[in-house]
Amino acid sequence: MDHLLREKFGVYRCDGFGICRGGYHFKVSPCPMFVGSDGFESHTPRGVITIARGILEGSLAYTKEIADLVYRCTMCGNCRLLCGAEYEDGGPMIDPAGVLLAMRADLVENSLVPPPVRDFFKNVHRYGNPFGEPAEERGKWGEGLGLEEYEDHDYLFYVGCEGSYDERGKRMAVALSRLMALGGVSFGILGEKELCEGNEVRMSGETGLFQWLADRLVLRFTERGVRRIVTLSPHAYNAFRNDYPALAGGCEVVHYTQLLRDLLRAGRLRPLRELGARVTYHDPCFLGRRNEEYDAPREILRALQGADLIEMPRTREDSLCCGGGGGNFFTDMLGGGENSPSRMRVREAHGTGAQVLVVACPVCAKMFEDAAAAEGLDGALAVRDVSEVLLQCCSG
Amino acid sequence: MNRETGEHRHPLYEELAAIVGEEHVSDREIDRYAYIRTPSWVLGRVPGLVVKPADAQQVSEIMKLANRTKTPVIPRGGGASLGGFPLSDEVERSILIDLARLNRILFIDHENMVVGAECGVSLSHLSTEVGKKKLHIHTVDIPQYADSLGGVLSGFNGGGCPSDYATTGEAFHFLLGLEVVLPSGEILTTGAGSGTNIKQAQAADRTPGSPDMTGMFVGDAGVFGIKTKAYLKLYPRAASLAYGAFAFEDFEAMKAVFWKLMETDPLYYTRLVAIKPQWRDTWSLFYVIRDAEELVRFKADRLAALCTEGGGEKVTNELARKIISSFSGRQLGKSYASRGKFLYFEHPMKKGEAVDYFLRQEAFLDRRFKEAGVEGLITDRVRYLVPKERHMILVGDLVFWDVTTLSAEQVERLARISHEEAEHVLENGGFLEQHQGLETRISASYWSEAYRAFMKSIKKALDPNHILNPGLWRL
Ligand SMILES: Cc1cc2nc3c(=O)[nH]c(=O)nc-3n(C[C@H](O)[C@H](O)[C@H](O)COP(=O)(O)OP(=O)(O)OC[C@H]3O[C@@H](n4cnc5c(N)ncnc54)[C@H](O)[C@@H]3O)c2cc1C
Repeated sequence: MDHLLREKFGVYRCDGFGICRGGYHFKVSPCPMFVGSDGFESHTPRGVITIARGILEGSLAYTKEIADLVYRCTMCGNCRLLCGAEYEDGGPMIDPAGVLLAMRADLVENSLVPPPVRDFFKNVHRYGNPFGEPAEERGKWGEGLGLEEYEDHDYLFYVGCEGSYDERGKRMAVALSRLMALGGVSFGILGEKELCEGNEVRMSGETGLFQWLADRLVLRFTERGVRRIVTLSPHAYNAFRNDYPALAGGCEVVHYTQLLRDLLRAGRLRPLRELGARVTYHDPCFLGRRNEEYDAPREILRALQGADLIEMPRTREDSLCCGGGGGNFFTDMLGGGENSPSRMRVREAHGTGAQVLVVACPVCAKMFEDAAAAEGLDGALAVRDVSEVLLQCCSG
Repeated sequence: MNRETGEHRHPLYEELAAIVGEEHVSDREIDRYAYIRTPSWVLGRVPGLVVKPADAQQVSEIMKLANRTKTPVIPRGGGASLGGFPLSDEVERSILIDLARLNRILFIDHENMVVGAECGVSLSHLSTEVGKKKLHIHTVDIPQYADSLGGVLSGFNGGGCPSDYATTGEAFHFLLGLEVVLPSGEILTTGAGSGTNIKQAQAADRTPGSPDMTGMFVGDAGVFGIKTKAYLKLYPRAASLAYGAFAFEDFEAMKAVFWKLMETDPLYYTRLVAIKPQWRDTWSLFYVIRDAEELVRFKADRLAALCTEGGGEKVTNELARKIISSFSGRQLGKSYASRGKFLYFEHPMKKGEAVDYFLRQEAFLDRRFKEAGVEGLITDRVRYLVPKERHMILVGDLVFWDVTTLSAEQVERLARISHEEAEHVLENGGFLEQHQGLETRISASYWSEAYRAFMKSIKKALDPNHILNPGLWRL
């Protein structure tokens, strides 16, 4: 339990108040791990911290049950915000997700990770992506678009694993490429030389594998002299921004919504066609809560004619996670069901009267599309990405 | 299925699963273990099994089963109370009832200004829902985000301090009636329910034809029964709000204004706190007024006139916010975690004696901190006086320590000072409410013999098998 020992301070600072379990003004807790469960205290952030304390004090030992529990967390960061326990300088104090991360790292070291997580790591290690797809297929999504391999372009478009291999993600990657071309952005991709950036690997406690990925990617970036990266996924954005110290200073990282916003501001994209729809926007955890970018996507949506933007009750930092973070998109440790966060969220979106649920993340897009189908909302609520709706309004 | 596979298999698992459904019962170690944590400094013991009933009927069946088998039962709401947890060896085979599924709001009756809700509902959800109809319930301040309705009525004097404590008193004054599952499993309705001579399903008042038996269950820490429904008075939500603070160079001058404000009719402040954080040299009077817009203006002007006449000087709103944030709202949680554990001394005292008493307590603490060699480790300290309606004043001294710098021995010394302080309160004519941080066991250790015998006889009559929260209040 070396990693947990290092997190000891966080464990003992928890005052046991349980605000992380409640949901402020909402009947339902915002914790994805809790809402989709049978509702026992063990599935709350306070509960997990209590279990961590039990491990530290020798009353409990890591077991399969504990492993199954801690891999349900999506690392959405809602608990940290609810706790409100921050240093006066604003930095986080009690970060339940940090405690969970330490527990995950211990489980990795003790080979106690659940089989789906083990398979996820195996795929990333063997193929460079969690889908277990061949590396040569990585750039195929862009065939026919006339994309260039990155050389001396202004931007490296880091497509990521979902954008490269997942059908839903690929559609987003295509839309974004078209928009960048329309806006005259000079960009290139790495194609089959691209590699998983490892955000979910890190969030799953496999720090060794994460480092292995990061070292290789950084090398590829530096060899090519990459100075600016635009990411499709907020997860990659998060990793590059916060967990790739080698990139700090020398390389600017933006999420694609920030780039598109700038193109709109500069008049390089002109959304002249009406959207004509009521839309609501879902803040992805790794863009919003973890990196505090709430406004860029909204600014884009507000620039669209005939887009009536209605906010969901839980919005911005209160946004409910789609359930796909922390590796869950690949491992599905959280499981589905009526009370899964993604299904709750599409019900909330539908409840606003919106016809389109707009997202800015390939993980959220896939999670919500599946959830909308499971809820029977196929015809009533479309799940679209910011780039897709913007492209619709920009194309002649 | 949440069934323990190891040696700890609870003998009542199957019977409880038949009552509530298999997914709502667990005897798995991790599910049981997680419940030992509350904000109390003392960890609880691991219960034998956890069950999540859906309604009063299921709670009743669980209680009947527990009685038949003489199994201890521990009700649980938000788990945010500091009142303590049963600690006997018996807890190992206990049933912990997590009431979170009893979370329905039964009705919001705007015309008759009553709300009815199940007791597992979170206070913040309840107050948000009534707020949507421009109505208000008196709930606690910060912990409403964690507390359940039943938990708050059971713990901390039964509802403790709403944010408008100064003018309205404790929240339980606004309770009209309860539905309670008695330890026997019987379901009883008190007060505004239909339990006494009321033929209607819903009566409008707390005492319709019997002694106030609702009050018996208020603040009982769940030793007399399990609350499953509560009916509360509703109030119109104030349309407007003003806040601010006046600083006083002289404590006596501030006291004179404070007294005048407490005596003035009609009530014209909603919240009043005389406060001195460690980082300020002077005392300040902080106020929040909630009312209709024109009344707020009128009251704020009168308050300003009184304060200025009495030598107070208005501070900027930004400073006022900073002053009050050392003590209230989410800020308390923030300070608590960032600066470490606190010792919280807060006691009610008759208005006429409160200030002298406060100064004596303060001097006592200063002396003890000095003698124990820990005074240099204080990172922050907030002294305050809060009126409790007209007759009492809460005197408070909130002391923060940086836990990272404290040795185990120093923590021990602080715990000792906390106990000595309680003794000092009693010697000084004060009394110990079950106020933030005081375990029921500690409060009850000061009961007189006669009072203890009286409480024991009630407990015995209601709970002859001694199964509900055994040991709390030393019962
Ligand atoms: C930092 C801090 C600040 C606080 N500030 C305030 C404040 O400003 N004002 C205020 O009023 N309070 C305050 N409190 C106290 C808190 O509101 C109470 O302790 C409250 O009782 C907690 O409610 P809960 O639902 O979490 O109860 P729990 O902790 O779950 O239960 C409390 C007790 O009641 C029993 N119980 C729970 N539910 C039921 C039920 N339905 N029927 C019968 N028994 C039951 C339990 O067995 C336990 O003995 C504060 C607490 C903390 C930690």
